[in-house]
Amino acid sequence: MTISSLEGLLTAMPGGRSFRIIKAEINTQAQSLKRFSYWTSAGAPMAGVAPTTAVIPTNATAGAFPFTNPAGGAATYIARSNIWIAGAQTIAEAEIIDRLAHMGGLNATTIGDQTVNVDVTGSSNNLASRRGATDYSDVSWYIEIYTQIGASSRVLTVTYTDSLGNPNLTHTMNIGGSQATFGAGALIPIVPTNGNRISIIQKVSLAISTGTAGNFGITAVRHLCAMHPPSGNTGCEFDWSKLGLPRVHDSACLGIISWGSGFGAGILYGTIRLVQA
Amino acid sequence: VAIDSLDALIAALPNAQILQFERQSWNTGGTGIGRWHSSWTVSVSVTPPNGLIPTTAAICNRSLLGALPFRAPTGDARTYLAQWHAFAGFDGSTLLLVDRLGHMGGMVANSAADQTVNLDLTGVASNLAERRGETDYSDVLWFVDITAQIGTTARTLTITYTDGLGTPNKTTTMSLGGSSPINQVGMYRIVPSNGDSISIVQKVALSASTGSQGAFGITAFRSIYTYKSPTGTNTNGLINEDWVETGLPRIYDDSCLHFIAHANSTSSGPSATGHIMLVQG
Repeated sequence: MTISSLEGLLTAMPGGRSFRIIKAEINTQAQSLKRFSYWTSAGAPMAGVAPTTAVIPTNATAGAFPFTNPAGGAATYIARSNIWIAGAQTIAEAEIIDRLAHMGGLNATTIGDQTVNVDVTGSSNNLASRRGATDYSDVSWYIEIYTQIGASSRVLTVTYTDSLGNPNLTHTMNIGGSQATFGAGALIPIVPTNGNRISIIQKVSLAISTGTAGNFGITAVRHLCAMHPPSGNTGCEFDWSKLGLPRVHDSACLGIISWGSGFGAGILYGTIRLVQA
Repeated sequence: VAIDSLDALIAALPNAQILQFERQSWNTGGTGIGRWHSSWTVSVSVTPPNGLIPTTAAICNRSLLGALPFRAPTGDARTYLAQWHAFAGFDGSTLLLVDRLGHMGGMVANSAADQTVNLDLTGVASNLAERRGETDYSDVLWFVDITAQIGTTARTLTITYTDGLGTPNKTTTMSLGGSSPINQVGMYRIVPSNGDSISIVQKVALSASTGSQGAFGITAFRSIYTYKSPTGTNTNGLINEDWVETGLPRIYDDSCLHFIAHANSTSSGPSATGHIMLVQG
């Protein structure tokens, strides 16, 4: 059963369940036009733990919104949300994502290969549905900073398998810099310039140390929806139409990331309301 | 199949495709009110990757590097723009989501000789028959696209074209080159003064050299959605528009989606970051 009509939506809405969002500031120096993850931010949902090995997190993982998978073939949707983003930011937004896979513990002073093996090709934890299209076009990949790395910008080679299953392809990007861009929570997109889509990241390799080990990892997400206040220090309400009534697949590890044109990683307050039918 | 009821839309929304984009510092040349800018190649490209500047005439499609890579619908389903959620970093300007129908490039601005274009939108490859819109070609926007700075001497560019009724070898003229910023990277609309629509641009010729070779081409678009960036207290606005506000425009199969901008600011070049949501049904 799914929601496929206005009547179906109206029937499901009164039985929805709201989840509070109370998240501590993740980076005091967050730079404009950069994304930040609230995975390890304290509050509600509770802080997640920086991973070490590659895993497929779920709704039961600490840090995720703890919704319950529906029974009897019903499906889950985000039907309403509100958000308030504190601080001096001019414009900022919060996005709800399904955290498909992650690993951490990578060292930004280590020269040479570091194993990643974040793989979203499997089917455990309902990953086959959660990742979306079979061409992996719904999956976004990021470097995630858990502890600030060094200030020197260095070339990182990312070795990956594309969406057609071709392994050992490489993409290069720079990592290393200030707290504003490579401090806690920072998400740096991994987007091959040849247009390839990624299904597995096998390893990363630095040619030169960034100067500080820090702690970084690889995270794969599926973006579900976004909401933004009209200006700094204000709130907003988004209904199902504004959100696009996104489907939340069973076992999804729902998390929050932020992005803004000003200071965009401050305290978050709000709710998301899930309906099931 | 088409989305022709609220129920059909509600059924399609949860399966929507979200296409992220992050295109910053578009213009590598001058800024100014009234200037057109393309995001095909930009200084800071995150996603989608930069496109390549063409050398020969080609019909663009969704698989081309630089396009927003939306999925083809299955069966006879159709694709629609159901949400726009983006930050557009340029005060009061207009951002357009366009279908890049065709392009060619590699022409030089220091030659008075004829330069062949042969950008022809009359075919059916890559679903062009649907994508170009009205049969009189009135949905097609044509531009001279400067991709490398040309000379500072303004010259007359004569464009030889076939009109929307199929009449060939017609000509229109426009000025090209001159003092900055009009010799800089940017786009200049081709609008025949007699009101003709254009189906084919056959060739161009400058009256004389502009003083520098540079590089330019011809590009044809169809506008799908336009977004006016706010001004005042919410400049450089981050805007969310749902399916009502976007008008639920249809996106035809194989469309080469990307962005162009019409500037209303002299302060900086445009940028655009956010996502669009496409539904199919």
